Amino acid sequence: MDMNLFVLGYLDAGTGSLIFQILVASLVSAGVVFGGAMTQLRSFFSRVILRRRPEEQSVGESPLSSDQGESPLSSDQPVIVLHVEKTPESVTHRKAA
Amino acid sequence: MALAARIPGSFRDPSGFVFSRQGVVHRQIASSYAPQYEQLISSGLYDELVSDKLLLPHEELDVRLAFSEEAYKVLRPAQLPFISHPFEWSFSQLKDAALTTLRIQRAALKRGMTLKDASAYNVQLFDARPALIDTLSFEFYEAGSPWVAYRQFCQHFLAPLALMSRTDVRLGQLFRTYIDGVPLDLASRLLPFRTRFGLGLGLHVHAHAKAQRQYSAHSSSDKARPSRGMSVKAFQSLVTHLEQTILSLKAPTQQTEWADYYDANNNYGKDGLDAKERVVQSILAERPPNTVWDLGANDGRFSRLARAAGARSVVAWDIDPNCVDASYRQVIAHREQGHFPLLLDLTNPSPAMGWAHRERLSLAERGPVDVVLALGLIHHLAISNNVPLSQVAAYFRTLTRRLVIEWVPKEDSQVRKLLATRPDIFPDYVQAKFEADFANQFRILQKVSVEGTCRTLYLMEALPG
Repeated sequence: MDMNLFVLGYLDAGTGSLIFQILVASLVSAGVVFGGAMTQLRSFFSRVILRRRPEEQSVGESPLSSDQGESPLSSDQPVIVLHVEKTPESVTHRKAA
Repeated sequence: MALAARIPGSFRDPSGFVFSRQGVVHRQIASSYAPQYEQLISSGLYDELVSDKLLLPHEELDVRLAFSEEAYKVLRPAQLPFISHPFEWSFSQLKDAALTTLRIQRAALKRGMTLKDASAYNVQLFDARPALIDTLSFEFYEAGSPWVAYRQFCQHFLAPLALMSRTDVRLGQLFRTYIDGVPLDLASRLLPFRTRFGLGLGLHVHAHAKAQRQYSAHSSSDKARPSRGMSVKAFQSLVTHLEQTILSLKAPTQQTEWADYYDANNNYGKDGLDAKERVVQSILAERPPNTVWDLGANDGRFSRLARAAGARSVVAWDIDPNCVDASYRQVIAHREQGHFPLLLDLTNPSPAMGWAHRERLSLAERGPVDVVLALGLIHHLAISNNVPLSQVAAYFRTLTRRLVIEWVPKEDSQVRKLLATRPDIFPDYVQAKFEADFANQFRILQKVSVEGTCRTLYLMEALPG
């Protein structure tokens, strides 16, 4: 599609931002599809295994994980550790009461 | 047409503008925006967003009330008692505003529309919830089109939130320098290195900044343009991913000096605080104010007294981001309408900003209010920051019609603490001089000693002229 056909409005959207978001959106969208497929597969094999070994059903956890359906690209959480800084005194030095 | 004035900050969007007539804010829609406005209404998007309290409601007025001739419609939006700026917000308020913007974008996509801008200035607290105030922010969604406002969203919301959460909460103040949001290359430099490896910030801030740099030289070249667009599914995935990235950003957990002031750190003891509350309550009850600014509000204890006394709008200003954030969360949790906890360093108050200094109003330009509460504040201005009492009085007069102010003498333990590490160069910091300086600007109506303390509360009225 020609970029000239896009509705650009009054904002300067930025060429880099427009191109980049198309790539990111495709990546994220593919992640959602991939995540969904993985969940289906996991669910399928879980059912097959459980049918073969029904005794495990009562012992083990549910074959569906709690993050079922979540995109593997869904969040920063698993990767980023929250960075905690001590408050510098200058934030509040002006006040004493 | 008489007594109408165009609001100076409303000029960027050719779809319309905001003007004021006899103190009531109106929005004029240009004829060129008629198809989009009709789609907003007929698609049911307007009704959905208003019923979800995501969009400021409006009523359509007679077009003869337009400011100028080329009007398609004239709207009277619900009137907001106070307009705040994003650099005055706490972390949670900016985060809620970001999530509100994304919810609106998701709803718009379902109805064949999209947000054409994503400015944090377009979100304000209304009915104790963040809501979009710009009815003209909607555009037709064209299949294959990317989100025009993606860059603006990242600059106005994602970058400042990431910086506040992952680097330092004070970096929210970068909005004061960058009126169109924090540049992504700057945010990328300021964020911790490890954020490059996260899929949220790594993509939407770091890689995005790199893409901007890479294509900045090719903006006019056809080669720089993509050969295909973006499916609506991909668009929705992008919005979801932005939402998840924003949700993963947690409020900074720094302990600040003022966060537990009334619980553990105050100078009064319970009896003194109760006595002060009773005095303030009786002062406010005598002549209930409509609008109040509580300067140095801490967790908003006295702001809530003012609301209880009947004030329609109370802005609780404080310098401590933790206090403001805690107060904001309380406002949201308890749906405290008309209560606005905001960040402010009174020694460097919010300036007029933007084009010709008229786009965003300064603190004083958003006043004057009926009552300013300045409780436990004067010693911080006069002693910690060396502001002469006469200048404090003169500035306060520009902010308010009536002033409730607490005199804190040198004998007070908090003042002694302030003077413990520096020479006392404040021979003028005495009650008689305080009264004389304030009498040049205000008429002193009441003077009450606060039981159990050495402090005195004053009720003053600004002198005319």
